[in-house]
Amino acid sequence: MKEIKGRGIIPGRARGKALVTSQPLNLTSGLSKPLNLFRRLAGVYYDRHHELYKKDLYNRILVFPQTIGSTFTGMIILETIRRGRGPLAMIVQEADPLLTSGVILAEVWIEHKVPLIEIPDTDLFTLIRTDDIVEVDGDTGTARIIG
Amino acid sequence: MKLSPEEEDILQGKQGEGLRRALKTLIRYGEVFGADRLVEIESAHLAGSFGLFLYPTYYDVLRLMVADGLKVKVPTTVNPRPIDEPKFLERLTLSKQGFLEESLAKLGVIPNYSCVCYDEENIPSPGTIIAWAESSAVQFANSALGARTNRNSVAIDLCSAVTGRTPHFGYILDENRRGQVLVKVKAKNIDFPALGYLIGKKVVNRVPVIEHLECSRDDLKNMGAAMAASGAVALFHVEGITPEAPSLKEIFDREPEAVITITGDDLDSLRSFKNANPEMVVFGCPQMTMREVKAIGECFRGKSVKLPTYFCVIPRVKEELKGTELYNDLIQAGVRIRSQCPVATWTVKFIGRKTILSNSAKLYYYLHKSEYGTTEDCLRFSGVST
Repeated sequence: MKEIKGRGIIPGRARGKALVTSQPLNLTSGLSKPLNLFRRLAGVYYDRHHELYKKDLYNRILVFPQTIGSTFTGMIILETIRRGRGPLAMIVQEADPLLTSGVILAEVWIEHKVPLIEIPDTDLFTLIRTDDIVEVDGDTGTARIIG
Repeated sequence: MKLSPEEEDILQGKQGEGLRRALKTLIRYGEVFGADRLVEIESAHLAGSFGLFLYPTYYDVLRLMVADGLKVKVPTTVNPRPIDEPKFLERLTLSKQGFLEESLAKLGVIPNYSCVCYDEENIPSPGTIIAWAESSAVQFANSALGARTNRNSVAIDLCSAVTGRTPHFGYILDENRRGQVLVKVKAKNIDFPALGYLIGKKVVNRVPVIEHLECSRDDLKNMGAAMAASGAVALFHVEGITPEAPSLKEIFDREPEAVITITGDDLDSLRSFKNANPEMVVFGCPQMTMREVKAIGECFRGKSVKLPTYFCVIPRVKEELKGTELYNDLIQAGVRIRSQCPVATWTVKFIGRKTILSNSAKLYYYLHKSEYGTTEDCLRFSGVST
């Protein structure tokens, strides 16, 4: 079991399967396409410029560098969480203002916490691989890779 | 975070639940970035202008603020309407548009309905602190105007507008406005949106400084909008053009952490239409200014379009155009002049929609079934130039 220490941004614990990308995510572009109108597809990432194209973020431990693009992003994260199709938890290299806004809006306005930790490690995307079982502790800012 | 006595009162709910939650949101937001306090702002700009049925929490926020009788504390503008002429299905998808616009009116928001608010309705002075959303407006306010704002999210923008405050961090601070990456451009003809797209992709969220290039205000607008789509650029400088970068020496504190070179071939690689078959042409994302309408519109005079061609313009500009000779010539040529947001319009109009060619690298990024071309490429496909 590997343990990586970072900074906790949103508290709470989650355990699940990792979905890892070293490319920044444009969550507005990815989660605002016509197919996202259907609740079952609300968490599917439809940004054709990205390697996660057509991957479902729902119920995953999402591991990525940071968000890019539109300032809709905070609200898109918030409403995807509200529709019950958001990621279980997120691990980022840099908690940027838009991503952070999304999880804070969820915390303050719908009292739903999606644990978020920041790990600036440049090796983050080799330490955690897609489909690894990962435990995120947003209180202490640690990620444990179970296997 | 150090709070003023008034802020303490608000946080205890003495001025209502709407304001309490708005302030709480800003405090949590600021805490993550180590903000020592909240600071007063001079203006706000809101990006949440689409009444899509999918944003119930955003509407809850608005409903609570309106019920509490809140008003925006500073001049506040808002992004474009999603679609000018909605059909039945689009009306259903955008069923909250009426509620949204009524709520914004009750809060005292200026109904400019444009992402290019900085063209007339909301022009911040250099050095002033503002709290804007809309990635393309944020980059323009910071870079071209020298005002100071972070990349604020939809809903956060509203919290800042009604409290008149933003957390003191990021691009508000001098030290985060310095140059980080030097960009050299080696190309004969500079396609600004393509350049922005490539820079955004390479620098992600760092502050790029472009070696001196002759560029207009509209070039800055279109280049910066692309940087904020393919990347997370909030601020860039152009040597000798933008206000904070009179020279390279004055904008870099130390050696650049990276130097990138962009060639004419790199710019050319973005012209994705070469592998596609565009069926309609769209100009204006961000919306076209009067200068752009005049310059591009000139090419349509006395001609007629071969493919459906749209101009998405600032609503005020559309009103000013009406009745002019240019307006009549454009209509005569078959140009469809709209004041909607092209991203929203053609995301919502998806059934049987044609492949779009656009000279906006931002639109190209966001829209499925869309391709990028230079302005000249677009004019050629419109059928008005060879």
